[in-house]
Parts: sequence; structure tokens; C-alpha cells
Amino acid sequence: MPKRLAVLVLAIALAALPLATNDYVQYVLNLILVYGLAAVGFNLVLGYLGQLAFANTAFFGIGAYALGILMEAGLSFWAALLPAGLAGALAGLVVGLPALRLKGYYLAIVTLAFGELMRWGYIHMDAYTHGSSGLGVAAPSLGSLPLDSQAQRYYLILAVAALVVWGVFNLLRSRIGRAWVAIRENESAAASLGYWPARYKVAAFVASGFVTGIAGALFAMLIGRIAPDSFGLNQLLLQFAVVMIGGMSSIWGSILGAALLTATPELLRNFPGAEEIIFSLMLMAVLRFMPRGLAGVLAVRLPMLRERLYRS
Amino acid sequence: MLLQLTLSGIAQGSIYALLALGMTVVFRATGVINFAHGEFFMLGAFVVYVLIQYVGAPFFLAAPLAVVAMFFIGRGVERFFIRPIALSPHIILAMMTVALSYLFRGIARLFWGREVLPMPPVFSLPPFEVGDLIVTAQDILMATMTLALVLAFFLFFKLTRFGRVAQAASASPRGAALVGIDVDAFSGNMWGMAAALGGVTGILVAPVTLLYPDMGAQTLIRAFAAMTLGGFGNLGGAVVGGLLLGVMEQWAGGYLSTALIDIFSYLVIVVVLITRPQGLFGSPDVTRV
Amino acid sequence: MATFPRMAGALAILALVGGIAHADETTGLTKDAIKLGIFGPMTGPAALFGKGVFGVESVYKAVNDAGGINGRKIEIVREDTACDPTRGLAAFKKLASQDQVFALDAGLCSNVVMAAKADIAKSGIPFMGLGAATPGIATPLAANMFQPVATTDEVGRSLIDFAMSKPGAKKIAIVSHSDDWGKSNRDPAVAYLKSKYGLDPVMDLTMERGSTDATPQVLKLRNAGADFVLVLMYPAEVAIFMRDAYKYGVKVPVLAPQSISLEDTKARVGTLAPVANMAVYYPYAHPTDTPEMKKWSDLIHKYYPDERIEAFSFLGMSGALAMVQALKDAGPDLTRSKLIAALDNIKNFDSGISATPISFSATDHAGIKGGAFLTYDKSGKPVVVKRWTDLQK
Repeated sequence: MPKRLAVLVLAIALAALPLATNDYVQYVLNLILVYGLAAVGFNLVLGYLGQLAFANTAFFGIGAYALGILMEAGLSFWAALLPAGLAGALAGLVVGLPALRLKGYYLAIVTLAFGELMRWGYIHMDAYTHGSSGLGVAAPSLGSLPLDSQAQRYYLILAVAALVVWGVFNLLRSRIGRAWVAIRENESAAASLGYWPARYKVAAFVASGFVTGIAGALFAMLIGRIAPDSFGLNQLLLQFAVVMIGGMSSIWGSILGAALLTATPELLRNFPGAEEIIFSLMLMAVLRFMPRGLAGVLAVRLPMLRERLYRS
Repeated sequence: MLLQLTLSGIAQGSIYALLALGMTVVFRATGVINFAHGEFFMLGAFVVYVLIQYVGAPFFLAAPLAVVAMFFIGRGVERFFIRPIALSPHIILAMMTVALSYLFRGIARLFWGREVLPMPPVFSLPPFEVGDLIVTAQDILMATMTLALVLAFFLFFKLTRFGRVAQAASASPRGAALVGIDVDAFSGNMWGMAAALGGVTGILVAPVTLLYPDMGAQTLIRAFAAMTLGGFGNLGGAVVGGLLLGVMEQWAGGYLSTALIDIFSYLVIVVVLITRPQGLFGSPDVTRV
Repeated sequence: MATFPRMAGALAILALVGGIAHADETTGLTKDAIKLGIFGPMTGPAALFGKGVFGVESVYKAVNDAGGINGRKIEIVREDTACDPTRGLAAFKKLASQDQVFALDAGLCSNVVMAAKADIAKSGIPFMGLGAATPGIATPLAANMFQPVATTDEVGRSLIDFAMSKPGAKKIAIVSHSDDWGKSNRDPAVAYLKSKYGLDPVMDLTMERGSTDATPQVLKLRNAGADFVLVLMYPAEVAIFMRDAYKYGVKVPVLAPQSISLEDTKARVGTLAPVANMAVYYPYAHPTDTPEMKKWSDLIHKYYPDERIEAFSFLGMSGALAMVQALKDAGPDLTRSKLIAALDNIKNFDSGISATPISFSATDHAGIKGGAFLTYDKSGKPVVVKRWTDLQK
């Protein structure tokens, strides 16, 4: 019974949240949700599969531009959302196949290069992406009601993110999720158990592409105008930091990490220039002292949460 | 035009070669890919600038001082940031260097955030002509220094005792420690050398590129492409890769489209890693079960 | 869960009710203060342009020192955008919903202002651009948004007109960045060259930010035999291009857009010779080293003594002065609508800084049309000219 009560309280708190915030704070919270979802997608490949692949910015950007281009072609937000995710999934397939051949640093560098090539593409395929000046994304509407305010978008993002994360949890509990962890720990042993690595690796990339693509689409909707510069190496580092600081292979950790890393620059607004330094020091501290991230620290200190934090 | 582009490509490529060389030194010695190498490059130039502008030192004094300073900075980095996590997985080490890169850039920005500073050139001779070609003293300096440094490194690794220690320690740190080699000090010195090398590159190049906090970050990806092309961990490969990349970039820009120059490094990386991951001179990776 | 339908209903109601709070006419005003929001790229890759913020703040601080406006002092709240739309949007929302400013004098990065434009327009907060040059600020018209600098469209047209004012000019070449800034300068120039003069650029090249070498571009230009080259790039890259052009003996006249400083480029290449044939679009009435402009440099140094003055330190200042004028005109019984009406009424406002006076109307919020160029005369002194023939080079 207490568990149900806790869930109810949480649900009401989440639902009533916009009543306690202004436009600015709500916007930051929305950003946290979007980055958190992107980190979940990244975590699938980085944390669960254990591969050093930096294609997440590419998936993020592809999802964002797919949504923007489809909406400009006349589709509604709702009709364009799933295709945006599928575009990300397709990109995941494209990245996943060469990933079978490459290991370690090689994979990291080639995926990084892929991300930058995509960015070059956004800049130069003007006809579709409007190049560097950016692609405007209209507000989504529920019937004839435009969802303009941050509060309305909050519910939309929350609903989509919750749905996708629920899907991810199920995926991680399934045979596929088990296979990923097995492959991460010892690929050859996993193969000997009957988990044919290639199939599952590609599946991880496809899943990561889908989730991150959806996050990208939500990002495009939230900011209202996407430009190639938003999907470069800075974005990559931010998302990596979110996953590391939150904790690899922890979904809730990703949300925590996103919250911390999105809120911090906002809180540091009075100390311009300090942000880059604080950010790097935070990352270094985590790498040095808490390589399992916040989720790791919490799992040690609050054993009752351990199972929740590392579910599957 | 072909010859001029090639010449310019060699000058550009020398920069990439030197950077790739510095990164390869660290990679060979300690197995870490140093994403902050571009910042060693940037710091070298800034230290010289500070010495010249604020302390009033003449260039021929400031430059060696800066190189020495970079050596100690490199050792410091190894001692305080890398060594404590030396046993962590590669990804942690790599990201530590990325964080370092941001830290250094943030610090540089704190002091010079808004400015793009000019640096007095090493020589200020006007360009001269060799037949149809135009050559600057800067070009010649870059190419000569690269050649000299590369030769120095080769001799160092192959012939000196320290160099052989380096090979031993990188091949098997445990084994090296067992025979009495101080692996920690060795790592520190290798990082110091790499930093000094990066600093030298920065000092040579800054008159050309102008000084700003992000100057290293922009060139780093070229160094990566050079290492990939030449074969990861191969010193000669890094140099050849750098020179080749510089020349190919210029050719592509001159004959195909200037829009390709920026993306060229990434294309090289993707093509090489998909078709021949070990690059030109590397050996194929063998995984043991 | 039985509670689910109930929760869903509650959520739906909340969603329908949600919406941005409407602008209040006197939000941000107290008896003795006017809260003014400023945002710009104070950090990040475009921090160079953040200098404009110091110029603008100096204007407002000077007004405060002289007694304020109708008994009120201006209280500045400054936020950093790092030239990133995500951060910039947050900066605006903070100023609007949390700090609750009365008006805004903000925006140097066009991508940031465009990302925030819908929200700014909806908020009704009077907005004076700080130097962002995208034509999208004033077109389509937003009742509360004003632009006191020449747009990239205007600059592009001016560059082409200036180039074509050289007798016999036919071959115009362009080198630009492929990023937002570069394209926003290049596209209107190319379009105008076609529409007014019926020409295409003889060369249309790119050079990326962070390039350290311009050899391929310069060699291609040398082969093309251009009459003029438009270099639509950031200061560091322009300097590198000028240096390489000089190295390869390419003596074609060069034109650069707003926010390139002629003096700084000369300092970066080292001597006069490489930039002797260079002219930059110059939004100001006088060169920096004249007594008229020194007055403004001194003003900035009064409040920011360590600030290194560059051309774009002055960029937003005329807009700030116009804002001050409008605040005065709106009278002591100040409201947002009155301020907007006063801004609409600004006509031929000569700040002493801009080359052309600022004029707004209820239907046109692009305040500057036309402009001038800064170049070196035969003795190496910078002069302001309007046509190539003014210098008889």
C-alpha cells in the first residue's frame, strides 16, 4: 500500500509542478527532461552495451531535424514525432553496422566523425534544413489549442518521455537487455552462451537511435528553432557528462545527471566564465572519485534505493 | 597552382604532424588519448605571449622558458589528474582529458576571453619567390622544425636508454616495474615531453593562427585524423599522416570545393576506419579471447 | 489503477488552463527605478561581440549619473547567452518571468534573438536590439521589437553597391563562413547582386571558422581575376585571409562587413600594406581615433577601465541612446505601451555615433538604412567614405 501512495503523491506532485514555477523555471525543467531522455538513449549504448560510441549527438540532431522538416512539410507534431524517432533508429542501424568491426577508441572516433559529418550536412543541405540560419519549429497543438506555454509543453514532454522510458525499462528487462549486459561483461563468453553479439549490438544502436531521436524531436519542439551548432561537440560533451555524472547504466541516474548539469549553468549565471571551469571540475571530480556517478553514490549510501536505481 | 597548394599543404601538415606526434607519444607511453593536447598547444603560445607582453622578455628567451614551463605542466597533469585514475577503463581516462581541455580553455578565457591576440612572428621577413612559388620564412621554419623534432624523437626512442625504457614500459608496465623501471616517473616525463612538444608547436604556429582560447580545439581533430590515417600509435605514421592530410586538404580545397576543407578530416577518419582501421602503418588489431 | 482516469482528467484541465502570464504595463517599474534587461554573448565562441554590452551599459550608467529619467534610475540586469539558442532562451525567460524587467536592450547573436523572437513578441516587453543584425528581428513586424542597427540585408546591399561603384566592376568574388553569421551576410549580397545588377559572383567560396590558412581560397581568387572580394568572416579569419592574400600577391580590393575592425585587422597582420586595399562597412560617423568617437571610448572607460575598445564596442550604443530618448519622451507616467509609442515616434535620431540617423515608425522597426565605409587614404589614415570613387584609388 505505501508504494501505491508514494506513486500517487509523486504523480500529483509532477502534475501540479507548473503551479509552483514561472515560465523560466519551467523551461529549465523541460530542458532537464529532454536532456534526461537523451542521456537515457546514450546510456543504452554507453552504459548497458558498454561501447564507447559517440553517435548520440548525431541521433539527437537527426531526430530534431526530421521533426522540423516533416512539420515544415505540413505534418502535425503528433504525426511527425514517431517518424523522427524512426529516423534516429535508422541512423542507429547505419552506425551500428560498422560498429561491429571497430573497437574501443576507433569506434569512439568514427562515431564522433559521423556526428560532425551530419552537422556539415545540416549546414549544407539548405533546401531542407535552412542551413545555418536554423529551422523554425511551430508549436504543437492539441486539436485547435496551440500548446504554447512552457507548462503545456511540460505535460507533453513528460508524457512522451515517461512512455519512452517505460519502454526502455521493459526492453532492459527482456532478453535483449540481458544480452547487452552479458556482451558488455565478456563478449566471447556471451557468444558461447548463445547470444549472437552482432544482432544485439546493432539492436542497441537502433534502440539508442530511437530514444535519442525522440529526445531530439522534443528538443526541437521546446526550443522552437534548431540550428546546426546545437548538435556539435559541445552537445556531445554535455550529454556524456550527464551520463557519467548521473551514473552509467542507470536510467534514474541519467535524469539526475541531466538535472544537475542543466540547473548548474543557470544557477551560475552570476559568475560568467566560471561555468566552463565548474563544469570541468565537476566532471573531473566524478571521474576521479565517483566513477559510478551519482547513482553509484546513492546506491551505496541508500541501499534501499539500490534496486530502483539499477533496475535491470 | 598544384605546387603552391602542395607547399602550403606541407606547411599546414607539419602542424598536424607535430600535434599528432605529441599525442602519439602519450598514447604509446601511457595508453591514453589526450584530448587536452590542443590545450598544451594553446598554453605554449599563451605563456610566450604573457612573457613577451607582460614581463617584457625577448622572444629568444621567452620561447625556451615557455617550453620548459610546458614540460612541468605536462608532468603536473600526469601526476595530479591521470595517475590517480591510471587503472580506470579507457573511457574514464579519455574523458578526464576532455574535462582538462575544458578546464584549460575556461582558464584561458577568464584572462583573455574576449580577445583575439596577435603574436609577434618568429621572423618577420617578407615572402620570397622561388620560380612560380611563393614561400614564407614561416613555412620553412615549420617544415624544418618538424623534420628536426621528428628525427630527434626517432633517435630518442630507438637509440637512447630512456627510449628503450619507454618501449618497455609501454609494452608492459608491470614487467618494466619488475625490472626496476620507475614507471610513474617515466609516465610523468613522457607527458612532460608531449606537453613541451605541443607547446613548441603552439609557439611556432601562433604567429600564423593568432591567439585565442579555442585555437587548440580547432586543430585537434586534424591531429586525430592524422593519427588515424597513419595508424594509431605509430610515430612515423602520425607524421606522415599529418603531412598527407595537410596536402590532401589543400588539394581538395583548391580543386574540388573550399567547403570540403572543414569536413575533410572527418571524411578521412570515417573512410580509413571503415576500410582499413589500422591506417597506413599500423598493425591490425588482434583480440585474444 | 483506479486513480488513473481521475489523474488524467486533472492533467487535462491543468493543461488547458496553462499559459504565459500576460504582460503588465508597469512590470519592472518602481517609483525610482526602471528595471532593464540586457543579454548578450558574454562567454563562449562569440564572446568578442559581448563588448557591445559594455558600451550599452555605459550609456545607461551615464544617464543614471546625470540624474536618471524623470526621477527614475535604470537598474540593469545582465544575462549571458553564450551565443547558444538554448541558453539564450533561458536568459530571456529569466529576465522576463523571474526578474520581471520593464524593457530589454539586448541581443547580439542573431540565432539567439530569432529563437526567442516568438516569446519576446508574445511577452509584449519593449525590446531594443543591441546589435543583432538579422533582418528577422524587424520583419515580420513585432509591435514591441526594434532594431537600431543595419540588418545584414542592408549591409549586403551596401557592400555590393560600394563594389559596383568602382567604374567597370563586373567580377565580384565572395568568401564567407558557412555558419549562420556568414550565410546571413552572404545570401542577401548574392541576391542583390543578381536582382539589381544582373550578375552572379565570379567566385563563391567558403572558409571555415578556425582555419589557419587561406591558400586554396586565395589561389582560386587569383585565377578568377576578380574586381572585388567580399570577405564575410569573423575577425581572426579575415586577418588570416588578408595575410595570405598579401603573401600570394593578390592585390584585389577587399570589402568586409559590419563588425570587422579595420584597425584591428591591420594590427593583426602587422603592417599597412596587406590592408591598404581594404574597406569595411562602417556604421559609425567617424573613425575610432577622432575626438568625436573618443568621447564615447572615454565613456566606456569611465565604467569599464580595463576594456579594450574595438569597433563593436559602440555597436549598440545608438540604440541605447534612442531608448533613453524614448523613455524621456514617454513621460513620468511610464507604461510599456507609452514606451513603445515613443519608440515608434523616433525620427531622424542622431546619436552622434551612427553614420545614419535612426528612424522608426509604427510599421517599420528597422531603424537604419544605408551606411558608410571605412578605409585607408593614401597617407594611411582611416577615412569614412560612401563610394569607391570618393577615394580615387
